[in-house]
Amino acid sequence: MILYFLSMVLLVMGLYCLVAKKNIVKKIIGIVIIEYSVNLFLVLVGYRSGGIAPILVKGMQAEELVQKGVDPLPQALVLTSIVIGLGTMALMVALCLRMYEKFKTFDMSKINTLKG
Amino acid sequence: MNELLFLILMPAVAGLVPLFIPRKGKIVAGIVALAASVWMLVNAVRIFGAGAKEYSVRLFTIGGELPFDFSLRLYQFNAFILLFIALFGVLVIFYSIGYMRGKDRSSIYYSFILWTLSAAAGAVLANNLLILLMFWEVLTVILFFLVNMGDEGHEIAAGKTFTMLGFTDAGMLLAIVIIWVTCGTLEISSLKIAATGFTGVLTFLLLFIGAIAKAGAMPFHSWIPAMAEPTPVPVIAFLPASLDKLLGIYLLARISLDIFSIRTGSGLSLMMMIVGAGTIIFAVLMALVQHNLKKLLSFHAVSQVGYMVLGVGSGIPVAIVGGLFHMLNNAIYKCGLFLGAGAVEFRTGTTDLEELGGLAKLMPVTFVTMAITAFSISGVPPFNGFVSKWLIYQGMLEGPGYNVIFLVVAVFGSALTLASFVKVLHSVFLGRRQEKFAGVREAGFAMQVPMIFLAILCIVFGVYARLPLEKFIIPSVAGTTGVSVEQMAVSTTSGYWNPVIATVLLFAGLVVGLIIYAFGKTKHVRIDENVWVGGNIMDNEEMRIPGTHFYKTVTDDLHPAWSALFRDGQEGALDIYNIWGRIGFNVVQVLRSLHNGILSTYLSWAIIGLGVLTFVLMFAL
Amino acid sequence: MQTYYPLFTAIPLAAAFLNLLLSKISMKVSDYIAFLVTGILAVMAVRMLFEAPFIYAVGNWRPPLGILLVSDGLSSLMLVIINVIGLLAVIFSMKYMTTYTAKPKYYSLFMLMIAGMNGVVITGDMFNLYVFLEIASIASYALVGFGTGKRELEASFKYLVLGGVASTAILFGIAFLYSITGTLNMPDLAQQLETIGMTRTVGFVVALFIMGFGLKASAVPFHAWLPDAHPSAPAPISAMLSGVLIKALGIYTIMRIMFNIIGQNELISAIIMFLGALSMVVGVLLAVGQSDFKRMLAYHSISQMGYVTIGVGLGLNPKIDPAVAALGLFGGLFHLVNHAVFKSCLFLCSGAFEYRTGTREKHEMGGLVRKMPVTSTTCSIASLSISGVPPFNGFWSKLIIILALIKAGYWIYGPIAVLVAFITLISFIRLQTGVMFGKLPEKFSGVKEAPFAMTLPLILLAILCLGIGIAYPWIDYGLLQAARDALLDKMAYMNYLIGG
Repeated sequence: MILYFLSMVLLVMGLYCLVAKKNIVKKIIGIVIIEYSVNLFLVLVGYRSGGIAPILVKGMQAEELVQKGVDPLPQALVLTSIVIGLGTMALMVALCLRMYEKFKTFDMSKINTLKG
Repeated sequence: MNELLFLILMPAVAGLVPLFIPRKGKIVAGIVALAASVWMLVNAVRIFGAGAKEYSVRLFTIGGELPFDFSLRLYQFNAFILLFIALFGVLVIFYSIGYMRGKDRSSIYYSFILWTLSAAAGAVLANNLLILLMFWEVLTVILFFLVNMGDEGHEIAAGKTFTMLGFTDAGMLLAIVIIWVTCGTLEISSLKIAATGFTGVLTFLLLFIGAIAKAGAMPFHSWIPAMAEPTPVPVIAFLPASLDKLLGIYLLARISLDIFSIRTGSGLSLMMMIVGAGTIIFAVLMALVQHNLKKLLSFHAVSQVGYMVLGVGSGIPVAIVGGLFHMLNNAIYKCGLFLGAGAVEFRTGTTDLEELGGLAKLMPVTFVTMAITAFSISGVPPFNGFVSKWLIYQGMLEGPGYNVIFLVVAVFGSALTLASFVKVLHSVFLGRRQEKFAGVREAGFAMQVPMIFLAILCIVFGVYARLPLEKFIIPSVAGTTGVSVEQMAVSTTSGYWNPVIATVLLFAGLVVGLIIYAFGKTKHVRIDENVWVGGNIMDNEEMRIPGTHFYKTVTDDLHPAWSALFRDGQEGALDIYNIWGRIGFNVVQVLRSLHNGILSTYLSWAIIGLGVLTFVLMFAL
Repeated sequence: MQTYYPLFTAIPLAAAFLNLLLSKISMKVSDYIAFLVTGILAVMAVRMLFEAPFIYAVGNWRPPLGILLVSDGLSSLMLVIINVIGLLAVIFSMKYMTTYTAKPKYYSLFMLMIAGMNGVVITGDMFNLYVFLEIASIASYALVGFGTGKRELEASFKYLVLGGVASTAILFGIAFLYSITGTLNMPDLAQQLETIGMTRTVGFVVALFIMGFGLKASAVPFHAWLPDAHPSAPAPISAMLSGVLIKALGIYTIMRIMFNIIGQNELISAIIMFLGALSMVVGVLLAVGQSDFKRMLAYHSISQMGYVTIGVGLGLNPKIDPAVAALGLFGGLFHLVNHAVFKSCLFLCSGAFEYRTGTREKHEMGGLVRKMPVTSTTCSIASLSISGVPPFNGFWSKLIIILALIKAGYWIYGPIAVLVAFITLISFIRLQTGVMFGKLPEKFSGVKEAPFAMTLPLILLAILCLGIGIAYPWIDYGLLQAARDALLDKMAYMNYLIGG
């Protein structure tokens, strides 16, 4: 339970970072933190205390795997989600570099040409 | 094909033809349009005498329980309106062929005029409120495009027109939806709603506003003066001056007499009469101080609506007849006046009253027709405006005691109208002519014919007033007011022949009008000799006194608060369009300043939103 | 058709990569590939309208285990919108995008976006939906910043951060759902939730979904990215984003989840209707004050999506007469279709004007109707449509929504909807008088009509505006009803689990 709680703490930290920090790089880190909090949460959903890897090795009964194995699905989801996160991050970093070229600043609160 | 459907579809299809005719050959487009409108007129005349007709197709059923019919119904009332719509179509297209020559406008103009005819026919024939509204809005949209074909400044005028009419159309839509939900039907001929309770009064008011905004009564009038200057003259003569009056007052009569049955003495009746009387007096005062012929006429177009609303709103049979007859008369003479103004503009290139003058000899036909229509609008016998105003006065005398106030206002408004038109005739046709207008000629044949026709109609409907009354108006009203045709005819004609008090009042009005004119005139001395100022002979042109100055008295020399009101009225501070524009602007500015472009702000909105959603969904469930 | 169902995502995905490879040989080829692919997809999508509902089990796994693709009335409708508008946007791009460099990359991103949206619409698996949603989103982030100017980069970054937060919220919601039901299969989820009922956890999930998908659908207060992002993208992309993306990723998912998985609920209905009303009012008020053509259109997207949302919200209410709820939902779906048509037309018009005049500021333009008659006429038609003027299509959908609101007794929302329609009209009157009418500025005296590749989509969309408006009685009983019934029949959706 404490772990679930910690993943929520991580989420709140990430959101705080996004809202409160002005630096673009820190904002990117904030996004990454909230992505990891949700990944952590997904893994925890499939976790089973004392569980084994969900792989059917030679000599293992199917029932035993069902009883002891952790849920494999969230792990697959997390992998996908990490890949998506990577894509997003790459795009963000690219945008961040381009923005620095144009605006000569990393301060997001100064980048507000679009408003109203 | 069904005859009613034909009247709507034929002009619409004919309107497609001019789209394929290039700008250079627009005279061909004009002839096509003329042919189509004449054909429409012929059909309208043919079905006029043919009695009631109905046509209905079930289009679909919304939500399985609200049937929606495309239904048309022809009966006495709308048959004659339709007749005059087609007639004005013919006249205006005929006039346009002359007027549009030499103007750089494309042939799509004729498409719009034909589509207007089609939509107007649809609106009067519709027997389903939603169908009526759809045609109604199509008219608004076409008017928007027609105004946009005008001179400089047209886009602002067009925007204002569309905005104001769009607002009232939206109100009508709401009213119609409420009626649909509460009554389960939209069929006009079978709808009977009590104008009591919240929804009853609300729906009536919304529909009422829709009707008077189209007709142009205060406080929803300001689009007419705004569009008067830049709009091409045939357009303003066609739509705001004649067609919109017919349609607006037609709808007003339908809702207040048929659907809601507003009776004499009720609060809503009083409200309508106040709107009518207020419109008469304020618009005519504004008209007095105008310097532009078209703008002046447009204020009169507003002012005259007051009489119709007053007449129809009173709920007294004679006054209703008078109001509807005034609607018809107004459409005739106001169309004539605008066409005359267009002829003057066509030849001199201006409608500024301060520049014009002395055109009577050069443009005799225009002068005579405009004089006839001007006396008509001022209610001078024996022209048609006199008869209808008389009937309204007569009706006012029958109602509750407070009607005397409305009577006085109406008479006074008539006096001011006369004063204003004496000014018009003076400053345009009499007085001194400027040098540059020496070569002005009479307008062409195509422009003269409609003007002459309308002037003759003014005389005919004045002298033989029984003809239109008995043929068109009385049969339309008789059914709805519970009075038979014969009784109505008797009471109307007795009113016509035995009008002691009304006659006195009428002539009092005429006298007051002339006094006002004379009062303005004595302030200044007419000068024809060369003027001597400090030993120099001044040029006559400089010392020329334009006719408009006669009425400076009205604005300047009276009480200061009064002058301030005029200034405000002129600059539009009292215009609801401007007032709401300012309020809206401030609200928008507040909202825009919230969107400050900073990412953290936007993020915090999203996160706070999530928090509130979570709270509501987790703990209020 | 059934066996080809996965091709809706497979073709554009493949084309996206193939396009980049082939364009190394010749730049010209990417135009043809894009046109061919979207053309095929559009034809397939139209054919899907005539298919009865079916399911497709990917890899022949039995439904609760494998990934399920579902085809019903709603997904067919969405497929048509996505692919037809996509085709028109590609035709428009052929000429318009020559002003940008790197056309092949543009088409590849475009194809990815199409693939993502098609995937979202056809899938019957929660996580699969998330993945496709991310594909479409990331492609759209990149497309918004495609111009790499100051404005584009700023807008793209803001969009990305807000979109990223929304995606995280959605993934959290999916994780919570998985933790309480142990399945990701949408029909299975629906069945499981039926037995669990509306617990607090489900309530939290709904909150996360409304925020996440609501942000993608740009409901106020989650809308702030849209007026920056949509105008900054190239015009055909603006058309795709406003016309299609916010619907496929936002409204479609909300409808699918709330109707078919969670089920009708009064509180959710009230919340969604409130968000819809708020979006309508705030969006339109902000739109009136804009001088930038495209930014104004973007704010109108928020406002018009408010209409759709309020209609959908009304449909979610189980306490009112089911016929009225169905009417509200029908109006919402109808407005969704109409909005896709006229908003993409308007954005493409703005692109055509910008292409010829080089500006998007309304007060710098004027009198263009004489110079660009076709673009102006289509722009006028679409403007009248969005303002709800008869006989164009927007009138009918707004009428039905207002009618349903009044009939259901929402005496505040109904008049608000009428008022918003009027304010929309004001702002489009100002657009028309500012851009098309009035005095032509000197500098534009040499302006010509836009090229045919740009006017063709405009003409087609304008004809659709008028056509749907006039042919409304026949559409009523056509595809929209199928979509509506698909949503209202939760039972049928759950039965897809056992093979439809």
